[in-house]
Amino acid sequence: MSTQTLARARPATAATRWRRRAAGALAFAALIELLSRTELVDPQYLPPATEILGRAVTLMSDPAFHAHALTTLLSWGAGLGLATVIAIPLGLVLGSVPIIDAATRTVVEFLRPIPSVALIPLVSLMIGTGLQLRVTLVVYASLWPILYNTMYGLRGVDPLAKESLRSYGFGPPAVLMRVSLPSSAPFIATGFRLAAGVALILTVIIELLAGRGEGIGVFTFFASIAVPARMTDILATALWVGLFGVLVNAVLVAAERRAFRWHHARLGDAG
Amino acid sequence: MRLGRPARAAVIGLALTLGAVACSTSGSTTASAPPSASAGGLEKTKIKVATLPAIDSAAIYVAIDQKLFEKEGLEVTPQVVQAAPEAIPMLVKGEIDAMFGNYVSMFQAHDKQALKLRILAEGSRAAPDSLSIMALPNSPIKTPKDLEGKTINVNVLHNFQELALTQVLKANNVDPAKIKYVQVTFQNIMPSWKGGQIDAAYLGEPMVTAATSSMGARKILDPASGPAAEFPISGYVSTQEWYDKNPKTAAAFQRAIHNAAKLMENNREVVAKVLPNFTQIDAATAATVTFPYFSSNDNPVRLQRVADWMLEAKWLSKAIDVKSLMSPTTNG
Repeated sequence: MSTQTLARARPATAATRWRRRAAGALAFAALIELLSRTELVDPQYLPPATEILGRAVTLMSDPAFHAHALTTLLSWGAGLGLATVIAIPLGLVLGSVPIIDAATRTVVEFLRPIPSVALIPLVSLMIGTGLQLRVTLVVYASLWPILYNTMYGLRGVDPLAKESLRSYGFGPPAVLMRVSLPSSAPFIATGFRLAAGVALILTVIIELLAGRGEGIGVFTFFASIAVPARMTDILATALWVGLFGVLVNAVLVAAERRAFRWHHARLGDAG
Repeated sequence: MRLGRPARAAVIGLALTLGAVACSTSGSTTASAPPSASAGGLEKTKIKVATLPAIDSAAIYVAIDQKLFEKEGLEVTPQVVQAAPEAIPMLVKGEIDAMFGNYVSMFQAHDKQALKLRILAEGSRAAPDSLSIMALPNSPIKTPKDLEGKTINVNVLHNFQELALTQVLKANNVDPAKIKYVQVTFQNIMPSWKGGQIDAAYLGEPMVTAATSSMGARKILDPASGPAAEFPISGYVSTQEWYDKNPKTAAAFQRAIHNAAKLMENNREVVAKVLPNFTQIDAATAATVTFPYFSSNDNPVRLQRVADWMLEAKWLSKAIDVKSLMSPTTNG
């Protein structure tokens, strides 16, 4: 939202915005290059940006890296998908039935702050350590943003619209499907976008700690235990993970704007 | 409703796919091979073993590379894990048949009844210079006595590193209680050493070689000398339950590991050749690092020493009779 306010304050075309962003990224890369080349920072820990970029490109044609990346994508996608399928109905129930919300509040508030990684030993003993471990923990972590946004979205539904529908004799399911769900959809979408980021972070962390030989996190782990550590590999991998995160976010933001034009129009920030 | 039919179809499709994935993964773990009249009458011919990305795990890779398992009618699939604690649940759940782990962790798990341990074959013993307490060139630490009051890193607190060093410190008239141990991950040893968070570094190969050649680090003490000479570090272990079901497979596995160790004793090449398969040690480094000893037989006496020292350090709640956990040594 901040970029949009900035854009409004100083009107700029899309092309200008992209040019500015590219310039910022280039300046950052130049800074890394400078710090490393002048040895202000030990180049063993921070290799020059050109080396990192070069390695990122060659990694793309490395079949081993592809295999790791595919496993990571699978855990991420499956975890995020399952979290969505679980969290939206759950959020709808908790957000629209006050009794259930009150009864489960304590448990939910207790579970929410538990870090997923702290559950690795428990979950691996309960359900095993392969893909199922990673997916379960990713689901656990990315569930909350979707759940909470769904609940908050429902809370903001126009009561008048709901009442009108009820007075015309529509039952609760119809009110939910015709008013509540569409009206809270933008919030749910935002929750999904946040969850996509959380899921990516979690996937890589769990691989790093308990990847069992598979995934981007494991690739990073192996690079880090080499003597000396292969910092270029680590940073090139981080670059790809970062780019993927940015891409997913951009796609989801664009999709949200297109799907919920009316919502953004109401907020007064339609581009 | 804004969601169109394609979107709904996509959601349903995803859910179905996930369901299928969940079923297929859980199904594969429960499928256990029935005892069959296969080659040599082994109860199980295909086994999965968790290993670590460290030189100590080499014997299993040499046995694969030199077809020693094949000779026993065994097909062994190694599974590299980041750390041994990751493999214990895999063993308990039956996802793997055996694992490579250090005795201190394994005895602790056995003592806490996290698993009923069975040692299938001994793996590695500390060789002189394969472990080292080192100081940077400008450090005031010159002798073992200077270590008193100083901070030293260990991979994991209360593990074999501390156990062996305690005995060696005592033998060198240093009070082991005056050493401060901090847990530092492998990747962070060098930065925290250079940064002064640790005074002396507890290193294993290939870091001993790297620190000597690239930083001019000095060796202060060998934690595997004197009373801790040839200190047993790690072995191939499974559960008692697995062993009772597969005694012949266990014996075949043990023979292959011992035969690999015999090959490795006088032939660095066979070890160096397999290192890049599971460690991050390149061929050039492999040619210069000090290898641990690889055990070509099992010896309950030297392993008992580990359990006894652990009891002395109060890391065990009761004594462990190591011999009762070991497989009878079979000859190949």
